[in-house]
Amino acid sequence: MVNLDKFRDSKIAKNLLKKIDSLVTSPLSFMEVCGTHTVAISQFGIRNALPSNLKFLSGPGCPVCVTPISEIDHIIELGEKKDIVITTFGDMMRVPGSHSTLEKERAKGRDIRVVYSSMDALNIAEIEGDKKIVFVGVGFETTSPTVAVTIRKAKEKDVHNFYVFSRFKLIPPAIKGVLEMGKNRIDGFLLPGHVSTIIGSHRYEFIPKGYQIPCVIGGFEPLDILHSIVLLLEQVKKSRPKVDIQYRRSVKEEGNLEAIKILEEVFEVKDTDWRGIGRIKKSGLELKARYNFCDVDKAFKVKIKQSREPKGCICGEILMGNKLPQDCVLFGKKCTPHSPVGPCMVSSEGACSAYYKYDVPRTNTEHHF
Amino acid sequence: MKEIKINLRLSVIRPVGVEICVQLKCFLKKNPVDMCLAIPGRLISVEGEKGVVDFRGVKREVVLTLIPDVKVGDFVIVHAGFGIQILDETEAKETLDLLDELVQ
Repeated sequence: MVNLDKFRDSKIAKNLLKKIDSLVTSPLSFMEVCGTHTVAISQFGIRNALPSNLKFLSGPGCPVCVTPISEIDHIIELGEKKDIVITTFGDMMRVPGSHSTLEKERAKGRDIRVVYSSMDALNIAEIEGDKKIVFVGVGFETTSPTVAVTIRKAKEKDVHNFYVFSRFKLIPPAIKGVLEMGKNRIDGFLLPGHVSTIIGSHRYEFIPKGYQIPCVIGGFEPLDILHSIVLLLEQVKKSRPKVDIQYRRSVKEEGNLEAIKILEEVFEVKDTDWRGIGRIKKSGLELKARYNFCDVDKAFKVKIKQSREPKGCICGEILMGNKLPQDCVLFGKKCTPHSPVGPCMVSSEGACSAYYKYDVPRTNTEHHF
Repeated sequence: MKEIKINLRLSVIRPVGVEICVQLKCFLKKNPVDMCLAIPGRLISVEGEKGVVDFRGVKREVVLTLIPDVKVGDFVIVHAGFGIQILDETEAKETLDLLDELVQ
């Protein structure tokens, strides 16, 4: 039986850091795409243990962070309708909309419930037949197949009071968006381990082929991340960019074929809006026509008042890798995990939240957290 | 919870007010990061499309539809109540062996 705790072995970690030190010979910027990687890199102290010539930029892989503010407003408006129960993953509760948050709305008496799984939301729909249960579908390719299974189950069980607000997004088009619209040079991508568990490695081939940028699909343990950085640096050194899989115990080249099959049975691709980035073609998912019965967009008409972004918030720039959290004038002052202004500080996968909790800024200015 | 401190050269180069003790915190007790992080657990029973997964003593019901080939005893990676992949223990061992070699 393999000992998975070894992926946290500090002796190997120290040696990997030495190897990284020896491989970084000029300034480099890598992007960690996935919010969970941002948090892991911060939490395990990796960010500040790296040589100062190697910088990590955060990418758009935080699903809560990239949900447009108008969609938060939309969910809040839905919650005001009679007999509607909003069910959501916990991360969405404190994201500020233009005027309120789901948490504040719950405090006012709206029926808003946190669920761990979309299947929990379906169970609520079966038990509370007099209510309309709306599940907030925010996430990437790790999450959307799980909701596809739930939607198919709803159809199979003939449940007609379960609805999904599908705002799922896709990672590869987002990376393309960053490459086309981002302002910073990116020398390598640390690609998301669990999105790739579903989609495999082929969908990232356009990055080394079209942009000559090295890619490594990495796991989330400290040694996975350090190993991935070594592999990226070796690709940089050899000038032979490719998509390499570090997280081989979970990621196969073909991905999870059953999950892809179910995903494509329930959802189809559409253009969608990303907060701070704008519209990216073919980057979102909507329910196929045969599942109209549980599509929130077909079932409920909602009028949203003018949405507005919070003043001074630069989450959009951070999500594109153009800026770091400490570049924001609000960071650590007006915007903290206790009183967040933007989604990057609220979300447990947000860059600002990770930096605030775990990182000491690498400047000569004293900061108190 | 055992914390292993490693003082690296950075703490000498950049004393910023308080000492930056650059720590690589290796928590021996599992520290789940957040709700989106899929974590591995051992499948201990199956009933139809569902099973019970043991995460170091915490047991949870998990939907197995996305990993139809899973067997009791497998390590599975679980996200939002669903198994999304069977953890390949051979690959895990090979990665660890590779890491051992890499730092020789």
